[in-house]
Amino acid sequence: MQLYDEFELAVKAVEQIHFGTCTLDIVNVFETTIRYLGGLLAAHDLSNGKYPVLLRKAVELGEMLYVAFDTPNRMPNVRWDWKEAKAGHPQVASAGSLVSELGSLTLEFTRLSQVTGDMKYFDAVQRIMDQFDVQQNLTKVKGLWPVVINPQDLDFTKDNGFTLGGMADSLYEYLPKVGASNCTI
Amino acid sequence: MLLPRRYWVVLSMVAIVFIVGYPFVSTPSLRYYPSKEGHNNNDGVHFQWSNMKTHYPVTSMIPMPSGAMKSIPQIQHKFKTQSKAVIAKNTERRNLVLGNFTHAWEGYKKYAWMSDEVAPLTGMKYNHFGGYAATLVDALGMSAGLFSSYGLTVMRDRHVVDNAALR
Repeated sequence: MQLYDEFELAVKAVEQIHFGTCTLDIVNVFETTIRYLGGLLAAHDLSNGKYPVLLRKAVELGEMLYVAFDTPNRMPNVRWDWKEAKAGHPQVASAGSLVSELGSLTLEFTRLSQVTGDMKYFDAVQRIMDQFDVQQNLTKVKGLWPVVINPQDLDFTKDNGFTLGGMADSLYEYLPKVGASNCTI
Repeated sequence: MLLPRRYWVVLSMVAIVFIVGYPFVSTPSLRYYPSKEGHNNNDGVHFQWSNMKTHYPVTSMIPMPSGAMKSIPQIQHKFKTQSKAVIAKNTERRNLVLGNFTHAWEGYKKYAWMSDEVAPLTGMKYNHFGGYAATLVDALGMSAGLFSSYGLTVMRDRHVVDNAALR
């Protein structure tokens, strides 16, 4: 199929992507993870590791996103002021986060640890899921987590809003997928 | 807006084409449209985030679990063997989707190469996802899965795509 060539063209272009700067003032950690880190890792896996640039760029991006986790309680700032971080200023976790934005980082970070052997990415997101675990039955609808949670104070229990739809769905989607990905690789 | 990730590009491209009312099947050209204006400055090219000083280092790593997972019951529909007519219809539809994808991909290459998105009517380029060529990278996984023999084998073995759909 001729589209093989289109894929190779796209892979070559990946070399020109640099994560040292950003067109936005605030990086959405979730969107950046699922689209970019997910895209790079999926392409790496589905091309059988044939193109080293894919994993190299995934690691560069992983290193960038990992800086958003450099907070006192190691919860990420999900709406991340990358310029402040780049200037070396200390950061804190977000005081309010959509539940999916905190809870749907696991698939990509876990896979990045699996393919690089560097466990820090898995460690970073497992800390988040440990908090989800602790608070799952303390919420106003036990078993579910509300739409808005507070990573800064490690309080996922206060909000009254619950949904399985937008703003929450990918959290519940990721749980079984990550469970499976931990065991089948 | 939290859309299912892997379908985001495909769905938006399909939607764009139908909204414009201009569906056609195209063969992808191999022309390369180089970007004249890179948005990444030199600072961004050479900077490495891995060199940042850590303020709050991790003192002990959580190990990755291993071993077998509890089995999860399948909830997906089990399709029966398809008739030739159904296969033909599915093939036709698949090719239309593929044509829409390649049409949108050509537009992205021509008007917004290395930007995040192309605006379907004006051809403007947008960088609302950080400026790391979001359309290109987001489509990479699907491209690798559909447009390489290894990727196709994996997708088929994992039942992501149907055997019949690959004929």
